[in-house]
Amino acid sequence: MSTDNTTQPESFGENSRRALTNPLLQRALTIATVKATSARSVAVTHVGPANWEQLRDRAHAIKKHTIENLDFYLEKFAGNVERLGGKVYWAQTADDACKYVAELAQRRGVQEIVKSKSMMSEEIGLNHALEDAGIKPIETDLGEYIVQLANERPSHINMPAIHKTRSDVADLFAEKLGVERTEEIAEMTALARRVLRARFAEAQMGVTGVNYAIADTGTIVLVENEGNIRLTTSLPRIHVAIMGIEKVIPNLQDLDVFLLLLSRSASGQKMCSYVSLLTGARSSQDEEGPDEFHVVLVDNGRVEMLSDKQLRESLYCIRCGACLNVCPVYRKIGGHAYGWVYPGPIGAVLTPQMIGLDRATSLPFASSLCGACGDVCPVKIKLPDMLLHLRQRINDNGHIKTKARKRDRLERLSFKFWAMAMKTSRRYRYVACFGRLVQALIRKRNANGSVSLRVPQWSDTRDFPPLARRSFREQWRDRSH
Amino acid sequence: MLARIRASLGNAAKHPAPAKLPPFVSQTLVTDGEKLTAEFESEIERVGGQVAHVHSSDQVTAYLSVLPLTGDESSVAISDGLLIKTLRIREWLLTRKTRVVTWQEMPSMEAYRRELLKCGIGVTCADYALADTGTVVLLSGREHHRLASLLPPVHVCLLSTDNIFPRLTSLMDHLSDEAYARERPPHALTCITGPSRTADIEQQITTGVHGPKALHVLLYSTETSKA
Amino acid sequence: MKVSIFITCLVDQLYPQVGMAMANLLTRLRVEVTFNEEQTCCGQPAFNSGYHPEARSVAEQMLRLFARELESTDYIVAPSGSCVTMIRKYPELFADNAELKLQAEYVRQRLYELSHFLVEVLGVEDVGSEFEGRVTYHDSCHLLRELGVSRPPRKLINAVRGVEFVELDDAEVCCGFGGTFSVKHPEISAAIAAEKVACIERSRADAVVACDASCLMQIGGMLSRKGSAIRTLHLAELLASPVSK
Repeated sequence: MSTDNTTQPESFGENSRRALTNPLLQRALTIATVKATSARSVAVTHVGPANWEQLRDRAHAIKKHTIENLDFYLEKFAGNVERLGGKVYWAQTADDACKYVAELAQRRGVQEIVKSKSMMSEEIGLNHALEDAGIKPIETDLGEYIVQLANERPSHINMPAIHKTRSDVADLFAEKLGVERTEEIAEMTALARRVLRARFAEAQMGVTGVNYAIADTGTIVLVENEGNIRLTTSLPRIHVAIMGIEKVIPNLQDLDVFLLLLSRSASGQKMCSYVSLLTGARSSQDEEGPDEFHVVLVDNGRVEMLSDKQLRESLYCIRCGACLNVCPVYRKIGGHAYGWVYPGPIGAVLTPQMIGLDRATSLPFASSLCGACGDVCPVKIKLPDMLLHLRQRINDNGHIKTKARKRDRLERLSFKFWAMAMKTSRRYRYVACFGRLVQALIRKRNANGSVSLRVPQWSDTRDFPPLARRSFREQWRDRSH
Repeated sequence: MLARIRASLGNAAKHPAPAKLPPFVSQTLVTDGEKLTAEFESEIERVGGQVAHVHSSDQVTAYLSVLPLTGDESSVAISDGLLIKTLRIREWLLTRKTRVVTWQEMPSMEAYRRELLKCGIGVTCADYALADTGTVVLLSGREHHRLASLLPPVHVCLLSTDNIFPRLTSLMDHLSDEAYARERPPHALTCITGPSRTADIEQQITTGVHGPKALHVLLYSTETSKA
Repeated sequence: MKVSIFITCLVDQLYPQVGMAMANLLTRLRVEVTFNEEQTCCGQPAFNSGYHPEARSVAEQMLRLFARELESTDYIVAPSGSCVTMIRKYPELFADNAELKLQAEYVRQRLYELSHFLVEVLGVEDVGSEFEGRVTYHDSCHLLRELGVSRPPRKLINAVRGVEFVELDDAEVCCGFGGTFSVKHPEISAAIAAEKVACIERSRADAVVACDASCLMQIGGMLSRKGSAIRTLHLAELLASPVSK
């Protein structure tokens, strides 16, 4: 598990209030999520809704098949990587994985590592671990580079700097790189290219994530638009790829479906600019490319996740970010409010499983259960069902002690009372009568002259209608008699 | 770890290879040569690549001669692809007194990389292409085109029209039986679809962030094969 | 045809006029309407908050009531996509009890949300009603995504005399209610509602129509707070007033 001190999913309430009152963040989130969702919709329409469904079903079936036989496919993948001269390291924890990379760098005398965007690297806190070992990690994806310069955490799975406007980036570059301030996106991009080219030219070691791992051939597949992954995997003499054990798929033919779904779901693209298939260490005929190839297979709680059949599907995720873009909650609060690596609906499902239910009790409740996430998921993960399942599990675990525990206890009592009251229509009517009596105490007059009720947690932001003078059942009885 | 995975899944310690999923065909594939080429062309233009038909060495050099070379990036890198040799591109560049960078003439990979950073154009061949996405595919092993297609700001890619596949599935079917069935499969297969791009600042698309800013695909066919 | 109506607790207590409108409308369409006074709540508030034992105890008596009702009626109809969705989950909720599961499967097949029932079962699009004004429609999440109902309400609205129908921007985006979500995270819930209300205002509609009282409570609460003149109407209310001749 991550030992990152900044892990604060339990401050979700405060985090989200901060986000809601930040007008720049609100603007940045709207720009990004509206563009991404509309681009996705256009792409899906282009494929045709029926074809799209067929692709989603196929991707789901492949993931299900592979996850259910993960031991077989993982063994096959690792065997092929080793047969082709690559090194495989099985990391049970985040610390194991970080230690392997850091020690490898130290043994090879590497002081600086170029990195491409990898959620796994974020998950295991690799940059912190490397810095502690005296090694400088350099993020090379433009968004990640911005986030690293700002000393922040990415706020989106594939648009790391979604929370920053061009003006924020201009300020950041001017301050940290000592250049003249410009808000021209092309100029800022060119600047990043120049600065990072120099790092690439020197780098001895490159670290990447993995999008897919092909069991049949021992191939890792990397998908990108910028070209920094190609540079990271072509220039340094050592390449280390870190991947969750769930990334494996059976064979090369399965790749097509995932590529069709991934870029369309993420950004509406038909195909990303670069897809690299890297197989083993290079042979003597392949003079270009690194001398050493390492794959770190990371568990970090995934093996345990496999044992819960209801939640196992969350390991099908291909990290496209579509559920974030479409989520009304994410659109309002952004990724940082979720307090850990994975935000949005998929984050609300993964985080409690990865860092512990007791450290992320708020997240599964941070959803209106509108179902938009499940609808866009390219691998058909039933996200709303999983959020419900986690809510139940959190409530069932009476021992969980959280900040919000007092309120939780009150809530539990309320639902016990509610269940009793709703058990018979007579009790239901009594409660309703009682409600009608006490509402006189909390009535208030609205600006437009109508009447509403002061209801805690509601009427600070919206008007709450009063209970009707006569309920439907009373009116119905009048009509019938 | 495998034992723990088995325990979590409830799988037996030694179980036979799982039955394969039935094959999947999502859409009917275009296989007609002319149509493939046309689809490839329109797709590559859609993603911001440029495409031209060439049938001779003269046409290739004419195309190259109008691409600008400036300042620090005035050299041209060419790979050792068969078509590049056949079309005598190196010889033509030398007559124009352009500095030519090739892998074979470099003392070391280090030196080659340093020189590549000074190139304004990288000329390579592509091994295959995919029509439905406008993708060129580079396979390592036979040709040294991995870095020449990546480091210079302009990538010119020669592609024989015979090597266009309908889509990734069809290429993967072909390669699974061929290149990937070998004892040593190719170390790197790179699919390139348009120039390098990013949308990390306000989702505004900007090209040439880390890889080439421009991609030119020269579709090569002999006049006779076209007729 | 005989229909037993399920009047959700929210409609019963806060919006009885929606229930009456639905009953009157069905009667006008020559459906025999019955209402069983023993009904209470479908159990959704507890279920969606993760209190499954509590949800089950309430849902069980509702399930038995629905099954009994279907002995003498053809369908159960409710003015809510959300509560219908909940009842459609009963087979799953009672998966461990063969008898209840069987009952739940049966009820599930005979249960309809109002707009769906009108268009699919009765085969009516024009119910012969009248409303003067510009009207827009908000898709309730469960009705749209769980029940897949999107065209029926639009067809019904379009057929109302005097209505100028206008599509709402982002009609399918949640209003931010989400049951207990609306009080657990009131600021986020209200911020989402504010976006919805902005779209509604942009539509320049006189009234916004939805098929769920819960969405209307959220949207109406925000409109009222802003002092807006735009009305919130349940579909049943819009369809209630017959053409005057």
